[in-house]
Amino acid sequence: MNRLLLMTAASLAALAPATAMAQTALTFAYWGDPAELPPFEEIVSTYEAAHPDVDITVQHAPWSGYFTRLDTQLAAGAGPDVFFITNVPSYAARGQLEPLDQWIADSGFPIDLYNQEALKSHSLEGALYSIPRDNDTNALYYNVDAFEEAGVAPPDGNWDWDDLREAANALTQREGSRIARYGLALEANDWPIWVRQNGGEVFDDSFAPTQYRLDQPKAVEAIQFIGDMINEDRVMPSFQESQQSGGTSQLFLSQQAAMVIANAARLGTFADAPFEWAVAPLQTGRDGTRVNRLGGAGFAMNANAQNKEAAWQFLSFLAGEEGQAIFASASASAVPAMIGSETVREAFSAPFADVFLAESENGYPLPQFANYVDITNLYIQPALDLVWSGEATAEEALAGIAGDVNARLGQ
Amino acid sequence: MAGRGSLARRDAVAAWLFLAPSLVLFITFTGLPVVAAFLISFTQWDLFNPAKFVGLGNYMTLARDGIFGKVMGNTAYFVLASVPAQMVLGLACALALNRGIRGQTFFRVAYFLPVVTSTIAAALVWAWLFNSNFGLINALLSAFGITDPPRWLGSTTWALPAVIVVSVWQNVGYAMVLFLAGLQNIPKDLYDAGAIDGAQGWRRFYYITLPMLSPTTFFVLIISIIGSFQVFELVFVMTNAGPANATNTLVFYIYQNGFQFYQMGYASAAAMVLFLIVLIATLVQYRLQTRWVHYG
Repeated sequence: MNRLLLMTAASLAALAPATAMAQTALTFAYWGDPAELPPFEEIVSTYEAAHPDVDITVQHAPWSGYFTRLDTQLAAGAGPDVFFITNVPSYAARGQLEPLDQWIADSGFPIDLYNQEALKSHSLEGALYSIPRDNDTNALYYNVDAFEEAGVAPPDGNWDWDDLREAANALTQREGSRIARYGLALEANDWPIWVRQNGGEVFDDSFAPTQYRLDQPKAVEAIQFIGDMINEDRVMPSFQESQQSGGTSQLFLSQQAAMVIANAARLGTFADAPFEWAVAPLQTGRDGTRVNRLGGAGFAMNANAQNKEAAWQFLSFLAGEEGQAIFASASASAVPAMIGSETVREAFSAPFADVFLAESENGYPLPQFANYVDITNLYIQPALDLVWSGEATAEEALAGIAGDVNARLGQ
Repeated sequence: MAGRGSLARRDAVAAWLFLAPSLVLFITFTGLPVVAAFLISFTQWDLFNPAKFVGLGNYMTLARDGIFGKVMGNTAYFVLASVPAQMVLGLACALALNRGIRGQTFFRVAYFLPVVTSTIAAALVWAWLFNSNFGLINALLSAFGITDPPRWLGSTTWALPAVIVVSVWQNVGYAMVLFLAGLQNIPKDLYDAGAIDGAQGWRRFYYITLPMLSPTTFFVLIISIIGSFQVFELVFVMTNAGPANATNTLVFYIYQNGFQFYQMGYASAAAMVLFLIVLIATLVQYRLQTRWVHYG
């Protein structure tokens, strides 16, 4: 009896490493709404088909829960081998990401085909830690039916702040003290673009800041402008209200907002909308300045990955021409980051692709450095909350945190 | 040989054996982490790189941290508002249900349901109700002619009260069930004797029910104070501590520092402050109980 048990155990033990060795196991984590998932799935199955020895386990979570999980895994020294990531410098500063420069040099990965400015937000102190998937270029989505019904001329591509505000006003439907339809809805993290469109800046340098600049007049004016659309005109929901209502895409789909400013992923989300919509270039600043977002989320390798060689192989496929082309051609699209590649540019054939490509030329890198998350959560966001809720003017709120923010920058 | 001593020892061994499973779990998952957190609170540690000893540095920073001050204020506000509300409403429900009204079971279930409902799901639905423009609550208010209803979760004044309302709604049922059990343990003879002496209504409640119920009241008080100090999920889902930290509470701030900013030392120091507050509050309660708690 005992011998039988022993033998079974021994044969099982002999089997286990054999199966494990035949397969290289990789874990790949990413976030996304259901509409955004197909390209990820396609890339994984394409890669597995080409590399039968590689078995990729996928970890998917919606945006809201993704980072809680990833952070916990990374803190435990574990986590996926390759993952979709943002706030790269914060993770890099904690030593959680594998520096990629050597891998790129050794394998001859065509990093030159990427927008070099965009790579900066994926770097820390000169070393590259992730390769961007896309350029998070925004555009103005508008409900064509609502425009016709309100008798507003559609955006001609040259709208400035005041044109946008005026249209938002005309499109807003009021029922007593309540708003049945807002003219406009914005994403909560979009305000730095407005600051830049007005010639202001958040810090003196987006990647290695020494000075807080959000309290300067140009920046203050931009923040106040957004605040006024929320509280004075009431043509836009506060960010907190918008989030409670399911976010900008939900507001747009349910026709509770006639215009939203969002990225190319919404092309897929809005595909089945029960009304006609179109996409226009972003509003310009009052002096015609065109500014859009630069850089997007990227793919990184875990500093603790078990098999870095295999992880890099997969990562370079993901971020290479083939992977980029799959993302670019997906219906829930993304403006490709590998903009220097003709194959990739051609694959990006979504409706209104030309609008997004033209807008991607105006990219401005958003602040991105190691303790940006702390500074935002502790100081900037609370100050902005007060403006969005109409409880303080931009001038008071933004000046009030200057000392604290500068002290943190100096640390 | 098999004397008294060895019997007692065998009993002790049996007792320890029975206690062992929960003791092991307690030491592994509560005891050791508490000791570890205490030690970590004297270091600067980001989870990834080696910890650096900083002595009382974290505690000094806490003392000067303006946001921590605000967080303490919010937590005090939360505890002082939600504990009495929970207790008074819980007792009122229990008294009403103890009279044997019709549909008792239905009401018991209805009031207890929030206790067993997933906090996350309930918080999401409440956030919808509180939506300043599309929400049901403001729709009702404007139906009653209030033209400028509060922005609830978007207002630094109203966000915390809104979270308190949800917390009370969620915990009243628990207090009610405990009070109900307490009420049913009061011997009928006391009321009969009281009736002979002419005690009616309010006096009956004040001189018989309240004192007889005091052990339950004491228990509910301790449990709800500790629970209120630890509020987290509601804040996490409904407001994410906003707007402008108006709903940031102690446990949320600990979470923020630990798992968003990776300052484990600082987070542990704040956790030690919470531990100390709850400990002192509980000790004070135990001291004071001799004056008002009557064990039949």
